[in-house]
Amino acid sequence: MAAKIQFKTEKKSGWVSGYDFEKLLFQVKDNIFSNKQALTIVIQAKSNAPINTIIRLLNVANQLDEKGVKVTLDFSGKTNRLYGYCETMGFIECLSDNVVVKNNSSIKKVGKIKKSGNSYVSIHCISGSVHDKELPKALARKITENIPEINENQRQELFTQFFSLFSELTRNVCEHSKTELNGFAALQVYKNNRAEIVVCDSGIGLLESLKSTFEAHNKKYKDFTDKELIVEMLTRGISSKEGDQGGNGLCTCFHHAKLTNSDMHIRLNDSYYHFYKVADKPKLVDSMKVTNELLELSGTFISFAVPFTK
Amino acid sequence: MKQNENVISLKKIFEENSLEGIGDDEGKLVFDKLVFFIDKKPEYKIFYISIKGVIFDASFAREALVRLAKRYRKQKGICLIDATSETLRLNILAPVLSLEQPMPFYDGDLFDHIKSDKIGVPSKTNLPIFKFVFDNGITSASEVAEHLDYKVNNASTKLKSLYEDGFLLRVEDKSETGGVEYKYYAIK
Repeated sequence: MAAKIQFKTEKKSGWVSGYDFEKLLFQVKDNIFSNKQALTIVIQAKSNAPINTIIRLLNVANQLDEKGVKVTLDFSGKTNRLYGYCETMGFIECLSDNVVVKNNSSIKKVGKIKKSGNSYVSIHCISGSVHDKELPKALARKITENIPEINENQRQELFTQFFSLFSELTRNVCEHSKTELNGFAALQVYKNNRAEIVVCDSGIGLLESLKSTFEAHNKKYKDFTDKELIVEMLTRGISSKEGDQGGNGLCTCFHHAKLTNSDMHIRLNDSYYHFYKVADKPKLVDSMKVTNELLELSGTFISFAVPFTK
Repeated sequence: MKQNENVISLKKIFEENSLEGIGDDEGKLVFDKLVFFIDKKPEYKIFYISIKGVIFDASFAREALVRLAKRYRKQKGICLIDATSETLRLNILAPVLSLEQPMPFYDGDLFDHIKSDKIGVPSKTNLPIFKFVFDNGITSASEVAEHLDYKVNNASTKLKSLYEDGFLLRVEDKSETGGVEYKYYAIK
């Protein structure tokens, strides 16, 4: 029997969070690679998902396809709301060629204006080898242009913040992912409220990349647990390069998250770190929840939910 | 004193070199240009870098600005001006922490250091002396001792520590007894 997931939640809202999706994946993790090496994800007609979940779905589909698993995304029902949303943001184009998409939905693509209800969504591929220096500003502009009712000073500050996050995170993908699979940078703007951004890749992963430098020049971190490494990376910075040539990127992202009291998610090969409202707790470790029961995936997945008012 | 000859506009360098303010390669390029500019003007001890109209990420800030200040530590001072954006200043914080190099700035007339809690600013015990030098201008250990009720040796040690840590500069002067006396001044 091929593994099958019903992409839905018991919650009344119908919104499948990133964590909900991780739990669904974990339930079938032993079946995916056995027998037929196939996974079907049935996306229920009434389910909804934020960008955080959608990008996980995309990443999972492409990674499993790369590993030889036949992946099918079955958008069920005649009016599948998530299909329209996925088409609108460019999700379907970002799927690997062998991933099968089944859809009977009559919902048409919204068109060039990427609006979905009261929000704005967008998704972009990142090459694992070339850092597109124009992308961080372009993505930051997409967010700030879609926030009404803020003054110019607030808009400029938010622009700088999103530019900084995208710049650090997309460069990390280019420098550390070491894979030919594309990474993704995605954003969703909930007007007057908050924006959520996601940057992910399918590479060797943040911690693995760092651990490969322990023998050469990061011996002092050798006995750190993964959790301690994450905290150190965010609060002090650890460079995978020798000397003082790096290590400021994630640390800067954390400073920005703290300034705006954002939520942060870091999903690595088999662990998920969730930092909830980081400014509310004096110590980072107190805002941190770690989940280890996950389907093993490659790469680094980082997302921020940034409120527009602190 | 901020004069045109020792004020550098980062925006101008960005425009002349079509820079985006991203990454250590652009930062290193700007570092070289700033070193060239500074070394041509040995008569100035403090240089002001305007960050008006530009944005940059942390890797750029580390290589172009904080490493520059570290290179000239104890010789010349680097001070940012037009640093009105709190969000942009955050991109300088991680390099300040990792290179352990203070970075003074002006937001309008307001002076401060890029800082986080106790890092990036003079220690609690040295702070009163830094503030005194900042307000008083060029200052000797004996003046500090007299005004803040320290022993001269103690004041001298603390001033030297602020100088070594990159918060103050100093010049040699002749003391009343004919020996060498250091006089300290803030990078402001």
